Amino acid sequence: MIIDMHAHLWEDHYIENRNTILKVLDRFSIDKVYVSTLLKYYPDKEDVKNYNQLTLEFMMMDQRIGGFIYVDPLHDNCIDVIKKGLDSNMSAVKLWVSCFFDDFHVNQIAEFCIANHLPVLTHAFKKATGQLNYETTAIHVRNMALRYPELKIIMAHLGGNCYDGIRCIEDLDNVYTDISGTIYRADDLDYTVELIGAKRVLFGTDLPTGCVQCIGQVEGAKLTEAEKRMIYSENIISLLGERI
Amino acid sequence: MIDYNCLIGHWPFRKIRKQSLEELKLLYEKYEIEYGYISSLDSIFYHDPFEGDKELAEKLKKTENKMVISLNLSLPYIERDIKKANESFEYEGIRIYPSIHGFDLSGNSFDEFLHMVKENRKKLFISYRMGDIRLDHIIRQSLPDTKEIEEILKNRYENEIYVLNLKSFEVLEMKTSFTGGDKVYFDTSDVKHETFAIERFKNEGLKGKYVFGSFYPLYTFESTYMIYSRT
Repeated sequence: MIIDMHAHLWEDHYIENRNTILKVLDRFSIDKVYVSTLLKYYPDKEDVKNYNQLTLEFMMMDQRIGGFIYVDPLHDNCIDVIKKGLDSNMSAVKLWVSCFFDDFHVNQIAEFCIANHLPVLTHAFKKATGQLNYETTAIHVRNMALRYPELKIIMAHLGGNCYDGIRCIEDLDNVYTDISGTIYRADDLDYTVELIGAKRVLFGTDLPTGCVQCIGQVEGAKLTEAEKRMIYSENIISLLGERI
Repeated sequence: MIDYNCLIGHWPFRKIRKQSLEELKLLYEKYEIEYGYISSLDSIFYHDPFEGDKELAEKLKKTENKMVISLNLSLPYIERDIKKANESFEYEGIRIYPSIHGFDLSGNSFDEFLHMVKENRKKLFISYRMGDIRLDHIIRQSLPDTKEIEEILKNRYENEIYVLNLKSFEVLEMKTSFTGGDKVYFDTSDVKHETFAIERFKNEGLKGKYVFGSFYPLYTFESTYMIYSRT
């Protein structure tokens, strides 16, 4: 069983993206995919409303589609946005690049998610080529994880560069990571599992960009069949609980 | 199937768990790859690339794989490297790494180099990038201008030219340069941003212009194989 817990619709290409995702599910036997919709780095409230509506419409098209609620922590209605998403059977919260993950605005989201047993997926990417203005790295993830040890955090993309990212979360049991995106260097997954074990690693793709390279990463790593099962599906099932 | 983008040796920036010729052989058997065009990772970093190539030639003896020497065009008197390679072992191609060695892909000295490649009837492999530059460590790669690559492709050299590690959007930017030349190709090791890259290339009239490249040992072999065979 394969569950892709990190995929997107881009608002300006959402129909094309939906078709790509459905084609991927069929061709690569992926059983379920969790989608959030994005576009602007710094969206307004109306943008966020539209993004989540597109996610919801996609969920209603096919039972293999699940949804993560996108919120901008800088908006004063962000908790209401999460509540609305939960009422629509969305499964977790997604934060992107509008503010750093350890910004004090994220505190209210963290506290709500702890109270409601919701994991938070945050973008994180350390780039040698330069960061966006408020692009989270593993350092910000670490700060937040220490501030809220009960919060279940998913640090996306192995933190971008696993050699920066995984070292920051190695000792933090409340932080998981996913292999999504266009990263498929040999050994990234081996290194990650050596440091934090397979139990905190999740399968994601960052669809509609790429996909098969993420399957290749799991198949190419030195993992037992049990570890592959954990990464492909068991860990996210456990993390999402009844919201799977 | 043939692997047009493969290296053997040590990569200094992180531990590579599978990097030997023996491990490569197992992967080739598993995925039914006939042979690879293999270069030396060591030669990229040695001040004298020939030292790495000499070691690689020894390793590739008695295998089906084809040797590709590495040249650093920022070094003086590169004729010497070609001459020594010609005298020392059999090889099929010459590979250059402008993003790491920092030389221009235009100008008189580069034209002279292209002339040498042609005279020696060797395949030319141009590494556009060496992996994901966002993840560079210590060395910061500087990517060549794609217009310089296009100029090379448009010159209609008689030799085969392979541009390695292009992203799909870069391939499409240079589409007419690829479709316009008989012997110019790109490999698929880095076309990761397009979910169904191979289908897209076929639809864009690029059938016959792309070749499989594993970028072993720096990328996960299974990932690059799946990109080529399943998208």
